[in-house]
Amino acid sequence: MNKTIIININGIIFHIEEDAYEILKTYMTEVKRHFAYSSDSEEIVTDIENRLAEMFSEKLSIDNRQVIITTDVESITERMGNVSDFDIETDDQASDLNNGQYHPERKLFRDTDDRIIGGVCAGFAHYLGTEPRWIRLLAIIAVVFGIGIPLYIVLWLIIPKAITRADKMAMKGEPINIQTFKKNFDEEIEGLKHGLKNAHIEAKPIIKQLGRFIEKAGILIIKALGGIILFSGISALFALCIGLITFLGYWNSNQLNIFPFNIVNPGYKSVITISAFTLIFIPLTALVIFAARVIFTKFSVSKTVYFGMLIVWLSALAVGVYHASKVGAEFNEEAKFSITSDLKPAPEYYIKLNPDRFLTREDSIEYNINASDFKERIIISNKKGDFNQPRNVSLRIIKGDVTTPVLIQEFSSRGSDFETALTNAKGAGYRFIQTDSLILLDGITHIKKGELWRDQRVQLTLKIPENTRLHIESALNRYLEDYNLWECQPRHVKNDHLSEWIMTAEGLKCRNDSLQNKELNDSVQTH
Amino acid sequence: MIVENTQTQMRKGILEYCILSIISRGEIYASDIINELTKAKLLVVEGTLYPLLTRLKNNGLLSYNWKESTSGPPRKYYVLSPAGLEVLRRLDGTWEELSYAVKVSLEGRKIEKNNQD
Repeated sequence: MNKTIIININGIIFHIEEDAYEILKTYMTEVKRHFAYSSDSEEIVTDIENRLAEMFSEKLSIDNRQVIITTDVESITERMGNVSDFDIETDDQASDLNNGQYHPERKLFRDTDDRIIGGVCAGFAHYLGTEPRWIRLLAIIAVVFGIGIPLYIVLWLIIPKAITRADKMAMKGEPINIQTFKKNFDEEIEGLKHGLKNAHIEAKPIIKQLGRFIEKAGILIIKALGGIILFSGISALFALCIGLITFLGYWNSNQLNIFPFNIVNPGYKSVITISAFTLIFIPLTALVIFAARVIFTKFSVSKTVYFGMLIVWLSALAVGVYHASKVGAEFNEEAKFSITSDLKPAPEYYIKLNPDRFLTREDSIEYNINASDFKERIIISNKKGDFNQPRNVSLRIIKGDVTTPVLIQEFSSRGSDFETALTNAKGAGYRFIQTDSLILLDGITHIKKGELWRDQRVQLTLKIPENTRLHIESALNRYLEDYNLWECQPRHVKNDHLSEWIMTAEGLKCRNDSLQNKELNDSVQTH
Repeated sequence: MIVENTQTQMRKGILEYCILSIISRGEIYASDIINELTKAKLLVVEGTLYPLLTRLKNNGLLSYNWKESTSGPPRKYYVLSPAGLEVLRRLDGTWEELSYAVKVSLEGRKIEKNNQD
């Protein structure tokens, strides 16, 4: 059984065997090249083609056959003659071209006839005009240095295999014309006959066996790697599916109120989850398919599937980006409002960070808080740390104009327009507690349950009359603007250390001058 | 090498003369010209003929007509033009002279019959 090709020579259709076609094609290319510099090249070539077609038709009708085979092409091109015999009437230019040995550029192919693993080294040897053994030596050195194996795999994948005879000849840099073509063909047939004859007599050289072993081991390693990737890929896909189901349920039931999940509008949650899921799922699937193809050589997936996967992935990306930008638009406008609360006057205040973010029953009793104020508010445990929530409280301490100290809470938030932004700001809650001279400040702004995070913030401004003394807890340093508590306390103190300040006409001053000086001395000494 | 070169030179001129005289007999198809030339052992392969015919045609010595064929595509039938006839007539004269010259030059010399070509 042979594969045939349908060709058209000046309007006549022929069925021709693949090998015969290659010879014919090479012959015609050679003829065309021969006459390329002659002014009538087209006419001459057409004449020759016509004559070939005529001879083929004759031959087929005489033998009552339908397919042109190699011997037909050989006998007919012989009658037509080699281009070297055409010389009698071509001008000098053309004959020069023909007499001068035409050497095409070598092309890089993998030589699978002389391979140990994938024929990469043999291919390079042909390309560089050297022996494969030297390239192989280099390859082994490269493997020792660690880059060999991945490099080899990449080269294996990207360098095409020499399949056709023309490929193999281009690989070896042999000129492609009818003589060399025949020579190559005859050599191949000879080699085949020789190989068949001696197959059972001649023992395989040990090198060849070693080569086979390395090849098999290499394939085994690659397949094992493929297996690991396949297994982990499938597990990941499975986990992803389970994750999707639980996540959809969990998130939609408002259980997940940490950043960044609390910024997404409820209506978008499912869409964003599914598109995120698809964005991960499809590349994973592609990886699994790739691994499967490495392991099971017969396993193949049509291009339509890949294309479909790409389309779905891009759609998911588009949907994700669209909804993300919708959520982003919720941050367009900013609104602010403030509440001013009078503080009980005192000569000195202790300002501390409320260490307990839970509003316990004891708190309510102790600080006499109206519980309804904080009902339904989400209080985040200190243990989770402040990094789950963007920091949204800042504190400024300035000199007050009046004698009564006040605390101004300025709430701000964002929304798609001013009204929603204002509503969002009103949805934010903040708690401070004053008991005599002690002021306890919360570290975060609370968001009502079910509310979305819209960059709700509170800016606290403490207005203190002149000469009031302040004991500020070290933990508040990160909330405090304009001042650095570490300028007024020794190094390596705990978070609950209190530093002493006093309000002057120019603002806060550290009460402990000696400490400040000492700090200064320290820094002088260290310099 | 020198021998081959001379042979080629000799054939080259004679080939053209022979082609013209074959065509002068009447309309003829390229393959039939080839058959005649092959019979005369002047032409080894067909490929030689086509460039030659094209050149002669471009010089105005030949023209051709397309004729339908029973099998295959239409064929080119070559005929001699008046200029071709004139050239042929002059070549006839030249050939007379040449063959006389050769005959005279070779007189009194035994030529071994060899079948080298």
